Formats: sequence, C-alpha cells, structure tokens
Amino acid sequence: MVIRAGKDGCYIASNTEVKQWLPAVHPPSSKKVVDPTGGGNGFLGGFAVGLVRWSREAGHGFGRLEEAAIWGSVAASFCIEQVDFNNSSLAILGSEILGYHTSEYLLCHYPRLPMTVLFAAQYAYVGPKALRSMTLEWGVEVAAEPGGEVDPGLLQLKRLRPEEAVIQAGKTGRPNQQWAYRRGTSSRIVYDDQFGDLKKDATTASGNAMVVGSSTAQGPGATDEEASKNFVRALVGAVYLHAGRAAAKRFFEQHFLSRQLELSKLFDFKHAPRDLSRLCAREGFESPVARLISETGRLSRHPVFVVGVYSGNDKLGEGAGASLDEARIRAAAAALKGWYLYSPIDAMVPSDVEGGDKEKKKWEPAMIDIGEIIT
Amino acid sequence: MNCNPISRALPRAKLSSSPVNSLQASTICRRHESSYRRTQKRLRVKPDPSFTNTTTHQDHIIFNPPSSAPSVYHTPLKFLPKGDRRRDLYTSASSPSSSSHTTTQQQQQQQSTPTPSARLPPALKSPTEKKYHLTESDIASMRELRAADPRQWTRVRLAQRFECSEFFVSLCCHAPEIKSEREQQLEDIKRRWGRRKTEARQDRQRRKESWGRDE
Repeated sequence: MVIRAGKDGCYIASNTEVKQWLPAVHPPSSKKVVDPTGGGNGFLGGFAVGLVRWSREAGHGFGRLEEAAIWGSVAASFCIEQVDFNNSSLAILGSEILGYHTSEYLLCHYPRLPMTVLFAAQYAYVGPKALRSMTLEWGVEVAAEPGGEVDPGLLQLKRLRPEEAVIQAGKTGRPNQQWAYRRGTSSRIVYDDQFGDLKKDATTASGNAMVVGSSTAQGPGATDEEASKNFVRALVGAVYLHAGRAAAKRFFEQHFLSRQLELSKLFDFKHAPRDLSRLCAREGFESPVARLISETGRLSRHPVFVVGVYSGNDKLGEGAGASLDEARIRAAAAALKGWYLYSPIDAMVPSDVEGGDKEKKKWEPAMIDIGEIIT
Repeated sequence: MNCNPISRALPRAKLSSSPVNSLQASTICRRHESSYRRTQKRLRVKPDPSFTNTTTHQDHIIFNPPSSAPSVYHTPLKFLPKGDRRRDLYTSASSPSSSSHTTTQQQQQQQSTPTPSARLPPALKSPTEKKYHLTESDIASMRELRAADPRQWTRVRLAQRFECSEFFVSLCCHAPEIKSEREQQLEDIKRRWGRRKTEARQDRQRRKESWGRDE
C-alpha cells in the first residue's frame, strides 16, 4: 500500500516487511517547487518503473517497495520543478503518427478520392471530434480543477467552455497572410494541416492545451475537445516510444481504423451530369445518356422514376427520384461516386513492409490516379 | 400486383411515337376484377425460372436476390482500371458457357464487348448533334446586337436568330447594364409571393441540393 502525501512525502506499508515514511525530495518551503500539477502522475510513473526494474542483486540494499518509492519521489521532484512538464511533445509525435497511418490507408485503398473528400475522411478518423468521442468511450473524465493531488486517471486542465475559447490569430505559415486570399485546394495541401485547416502557431497560448501542467497561471485554458485531442495523441506517441512502431500501428488499426466511416456520404456534387460528361470525355468513353429504366405513378402525387446513366451499352450509375430531373441527377451522382470510390483488391500500405523483413512481404506499388475531374 | 395493359379501355387518342408514352400506356393498372375467379387468376404468380429449372436432384443453392439499388462501392466494368483482376470476373459472369470449358479466341473477343443487340431502356432526351456552325463574324455581330439594345436583343431572341443555345449566347456576350434592372424586377415579383409560395420555393431549393449528395 502506498499513500502519497504531497509535501509530506509518501508512506509505504506491506504486510510482510516494511512500514515507513519517505520524505519528499524538496522541503516544504523550497523555491524550486513551481507547479505541483503533475507531481502525483510523475510519482506513479517512477514507482511503476522502480517496481519492474528492482532486483535483489542490484545491490542498493532496499526492498522492492522502498526502492520503487524512491524512484517515484525523485521523478515527482523533477515534475514539480518545471512548468513545462507536460505531454505536448508526445502529442505532436502522436498526431504525426496518426496522420501518417490514416493518410496511407486512405490513399492506398481509395486512390481516386478527391482532395476535399480526403481531408474530410482524415478528419472523421483522427480529427478532434473523433478523438473527443473516443475519450468519452474510454471513460476518461476531466478533473474539476487541476492540482497536485488530482487522481492520475483524470485529465487536468483549466477548462474553457467552447463559447469562451478564443481563436487567436497567430501565424498560420501561409505567405501574404495579411491579404485574405482564397484558400484553394492546392494551397491547403501545401500550407495547411492534415485536415486542410489553418495551422495554429505553436507558441500561442490558446492552441496549447497541456494535459498535465496547465495551471491557472498559464494562458487562458483549453476546451475539453482540445484536451481530449492532446490526450489521445500523447497516448499514441507514448505507445510508439515505449512499445515500438509495430505496436503503434496495431493500436491504430484496432482503435481508429476499426471505426466505420461511410465514404459515400462525404460527397456533394454541385453539377453532377456536367462532371460525369467531362469524365467520360477525358477517359474516352462514349458520352453519357440518361435512360428511364422503370417508373410508377407518373400522374399521381408521388411518382417514382428510376433512371440509369449509360455510356454506350454500359450502365454507369442508377438513381431513383420523384421527378425525371431528380432521378437523372441522382444517377449521375451515383456514377461519379462509383468512379471515385474505386478500391483495388489486395491494396498494400507502405508501413506493411517496414521493418526490413524482406522475406515477409513484397511491396506492390499502389495505384496512382490521374486526378479529379476539372471543369 | 398484376397489371394488364388496357388498350381497349383507353380512348383512342393520337399515339405519339415517343418511347416514354408507350411505357406509360403499358403500366396503367387495372385495380379491380369482377369475380373471385378472375381475381385469383390475376394474383397467381408463377415462380421465377431460376427456382423451377432444376435439372440436378441434389441439394443446391439458388442465388436470386430481390432487386435493390446498386451500391456505389461496386465499380462498374468501364470504370475499372486496366490491370484490375475483376475485369475477368465481369466478362466470365456475362457469358455462362465459358465457365466449363476453355474458350477460343473468337469467344473471348465476343466476351470483351457486350452484346450490342441488347435493348436499352428508352432515353430521356434523344441526344442532339452539336452544331459548330457559328464563325467569328457571327459571334461579333451577336455581341454588337446585344450591346446596341440589350432589352430588344435578349438571350432568347439571339439564340433563335443564330440557331444556338441560350447558354452559348451567355458565354459569348453579356449585358451588365441591365443586370441590376432584371434583378430588381425579379425581386419585385418575389416580394409579392405569399408565405406558402416562398416556403415551397425554399424547400424545393434545399431538396435540389440534396440530389447532388445522393443521400
């Protein structure tokens, strides 16, 4: 049994041997103590490592519990000496790993997806809202107030309600930021983040939600969504660092890729018949013709028309609607989705062949598509 | 529900040659029969041939799914890239005789092109041939007329005069000076609409946006 007592140190007791107090590393009035938040978590981390790494032959003369408590106290002392002892660097690492695995999956399995749909799918898999809902599913809650003695299973942050969150106009990494230029898709690929949204400057306080160590003295605080996002990313980063690349990929596949996403619902065509005829012209197919497959109730209050779009003798797509125009446009939209949602069988991702084990899998080049339809 | 074509019941109107009207005439349903025997006869539905043409007497599986909207995740044959293995599956599925024995070159050629004699459903709009008959001088004269008197020479009149589409006229020339005037007229008309008409129009606009999403 271990009882953490903040500035009084800790008390360890076991039924076999030891019952004693260990003092804290820093005395109560020490000037080195800056921010007590994170001390408890740091103690537990050090304690766990001490328990695992203890061996009788190592020769310190302490029992397992004592040695672990010493490790924990020293780890906690480092935590409370600094304000920046937090998970933000782990969060950056984790976000890069998540973004990499998601994008390689989408690009290899759906090579023809348009860029805007790709951004939307990336956001659906590993965006802030997805990470927030995962945090709720895992049952990780937010502490009422951050502090030294908060239970380590809770997220600690100075909470902001979403309506209070200030959007800081920091540097976005774009040139000519002072002119409100239109953010086209090409510029979003080059300058913006993995979801096509503007990058927030890393040094502005509002963009930085510290999971551990966000005290009232620091900036304005963060929303629950920001904190959950950073927590999940830091978790992935920690898995990568401590368990390896393969474990991180398995974690991603089991928790993120297993979530269902209806890609066909992410499309929105403004001029579906026009786009389809441009596609057929580009690919050298015969120009599309809408044909009435079947209908019912034409003169009634609720007719149903089923229209198919044919290129020559081949049906490209089918749609049903309450008017001929609606059915034709839905058929064209379905045909375009049939083009964009092509998925090769036995698609491989680059991380499948990582690790240098050449006998295991041979890299099959992924299909690279010519690109979206441009009108 | 059985639908008998009632050619005798309909008045002898002028039958137009458009394929849509013939489809309409053939699907008008009779909703009532005068005797129980006739009703029973109409309601007696024969099973699909796939369920009756069983030559084997062993246990077998019949695959006959009900009709449903096709999935967009199943790429049509024409959209598959050249190297995809599913092309062979499509062609072998379309000709059932090929599965049992090796095919000759001629049969393979037949398989790669679908039968052109298969009847396709009627087209909604018969495709019109595009005419590229307008020259530079025609377009210049179109622009002059539009600039001279935009209220007299509207897009509709110009399209009729030069025998092209109104869309093409809008590509060639525009009249910004009467644009605001026309918009103002439209605004006046729309202001006179009541609540129901305005809401109906807005609903229609929202519905049209959902067509592109095909949801």
